[in-house]
Amino acid sequence: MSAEPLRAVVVGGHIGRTHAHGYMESNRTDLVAVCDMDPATLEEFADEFDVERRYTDYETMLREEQPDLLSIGTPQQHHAWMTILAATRYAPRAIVCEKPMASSTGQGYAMLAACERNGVKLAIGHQGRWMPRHEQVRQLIADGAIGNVLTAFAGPPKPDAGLMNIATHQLSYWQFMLGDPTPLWVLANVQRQTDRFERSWPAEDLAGLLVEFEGGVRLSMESDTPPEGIERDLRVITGTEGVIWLSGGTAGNVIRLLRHGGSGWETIETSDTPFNNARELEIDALAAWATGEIDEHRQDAHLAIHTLEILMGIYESARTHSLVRLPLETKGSPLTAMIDAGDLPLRYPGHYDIRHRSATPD
Amino acid sequence: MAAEKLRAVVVGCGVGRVHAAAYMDTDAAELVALCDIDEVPLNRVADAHDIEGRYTDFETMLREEQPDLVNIATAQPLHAEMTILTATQYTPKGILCEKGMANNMGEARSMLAACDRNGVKLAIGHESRYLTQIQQARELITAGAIGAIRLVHGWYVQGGMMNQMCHGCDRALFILGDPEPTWVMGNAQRNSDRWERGWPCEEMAVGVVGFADGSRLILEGETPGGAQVEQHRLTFVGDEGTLYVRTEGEVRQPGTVPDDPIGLRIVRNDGSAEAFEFHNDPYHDARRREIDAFARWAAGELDGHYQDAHLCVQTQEILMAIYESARTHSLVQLPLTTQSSPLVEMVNSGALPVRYPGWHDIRHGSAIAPAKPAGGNS
Repeated sequence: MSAEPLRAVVVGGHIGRTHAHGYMESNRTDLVAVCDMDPATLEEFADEFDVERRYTDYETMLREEQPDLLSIGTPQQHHAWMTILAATRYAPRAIVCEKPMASSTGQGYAMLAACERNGVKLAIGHQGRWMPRHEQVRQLIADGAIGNVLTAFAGPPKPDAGLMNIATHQLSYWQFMLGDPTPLWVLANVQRQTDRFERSWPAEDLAGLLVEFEGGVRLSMESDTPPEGIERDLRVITGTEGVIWLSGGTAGNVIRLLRHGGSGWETIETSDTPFNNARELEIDALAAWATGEIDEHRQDAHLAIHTLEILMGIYESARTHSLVRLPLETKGSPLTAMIDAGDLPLRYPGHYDIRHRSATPD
Repeated sequence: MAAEKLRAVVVGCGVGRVHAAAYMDTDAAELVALCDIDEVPLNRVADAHDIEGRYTDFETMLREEQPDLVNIATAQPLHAEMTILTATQYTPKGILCEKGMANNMGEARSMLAACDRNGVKLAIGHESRYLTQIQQARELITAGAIGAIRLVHGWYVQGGMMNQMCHGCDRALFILGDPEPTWVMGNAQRNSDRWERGWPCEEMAVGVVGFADGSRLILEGETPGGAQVEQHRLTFVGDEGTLYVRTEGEVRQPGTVPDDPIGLRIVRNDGSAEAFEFHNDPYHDARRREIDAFARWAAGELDGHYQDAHLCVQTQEILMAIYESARTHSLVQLPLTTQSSPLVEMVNSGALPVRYPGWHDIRHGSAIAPAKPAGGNS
């Protein structure tokens, strides 16, 4: 495409920096402006990428820049209004909004509707779908390397993970690896005995969940459960004809595969693509999708809404002590509903935010 | 060995008929009396085995027969009271009590204490520990045939986790070599007023059990079947291979679940798959071995019994912990501190409101005759 580069802007000077990097690397885009409400963060952010046009007010940036592409890199509670405002008033060609998509399915569907009505393409920042290991597993499963998938298991990925922070990535990889089947139901539970937040939004202490996808695959996943004795981010996929093992978190690039009737364990090493390189692929594809050069983006919000359905389904299952079928009837956050109703009383008082905790020097 | 045969009695002539039949096949004990509050099943089972001692009152039987062995095959709500009464007042050599062991942990621990203090050996009716295939699975796993176990998965239907899933949980623990569970995270649903033989029962449940070595046991009870799960199949995932254990035949959808034999299928480190079929090892054979070993254990001829209540109590602990995790919205460390049934606590506190009213007992449901069509011209 030798057309003019698309004009891109980024709001949010923390995770937004990885987006800015993606726009710098893509020859389809020009990063024309950045925004952060904190002047010091904004200055550091803009200086790093040598961007002249700097805003502390989001809507002023949209009005003055009229961008083609918009990256929203703010915390989750701002995703819905910022996406809907941009889509309805300024209609860029495409928006990539960070994960999790929103704080409730009601917000998520409103984001989808606002973008669809205004012809705006919406992607959600689950860039792990571009990691070679996940692509390879998707291909192996699609090729029938382990037959029909029976069950999938995911142990705790890392300390202080949080469903809305890390499990949203994990669920998105799972959807991707399994070929994006529709989730059918969730049976789960969550614990919140401490006053835990993640970037100012309530988070659970830990969770355990079971979800069934179209076709019958069951995924059992844990978040912030005791890590003792279990390999970090252990993931096991059992099929009628074999088993696949993954571990080592996002840094891992090894797949272990045992085919029934094969010649023993196969170890497949994929190229070691850091998360930020996945972001470059994500941003470049976003630009190509926005111009119609490609028809699909693997982070399309129509897939991410299923991720959000599962996440809210976990909270709703805990709230109602029931298996919940998707899509959910409850459109608000069942987690905040439980907190407000006193269903999750604090045993150990004291407000804290896991993002602040992880920033503390060791 | 050449000593007098032990004198055995059975109370409860429902599942107790299987206990009675098994006593016919051991030379270590003689069945001398049966008891049931209902004379119809009592006489049916007693006639079948030509037993003269017939009672409709449990304590009268104990007092008059002074048995060496007591098999308690009544419904779960009665297990603790009957076991404790027997152990403390009549001290037989052994008691074999049906599953689910008890209504809650307080009862289960009291049963153990009452038997331990009075020198009574107590076993719980998880007879599949005497299925040949289950024992072979245990040998394979504990010998490291598929390496270190990281994950076990099982799915059960047929009415209540205290009823069916308890067998699956117990089998998994036995095959793993009876490790001590560390924690449980789970949830249970009870949207209708469901009971099982007079005790409240959930509609479905899920539990994740954590062990000290980091391995996990995932138990599903009555979750929707889907295409890829199968009743009575346990899947063991080791870091060197996989073992599928299938104890009963079920109708399967072709091309979905693996074509496992009734028995074991093991996939080893080198990718080779091997099947062990056990079509000729039905449950009543396991029950015979269970009863024979029970009599010999009580007589001091055997040092242990696979169904020793000190082992089987872990299943009770795990199932109560699933309810407790649901009740407290938390990951529950074992042993449980709560002694009552967390399910009953939830039902009583209103934490599990009935969305679809109408008392129903799943054991009665299957016994109800089809309703006659309404209307009709009589």
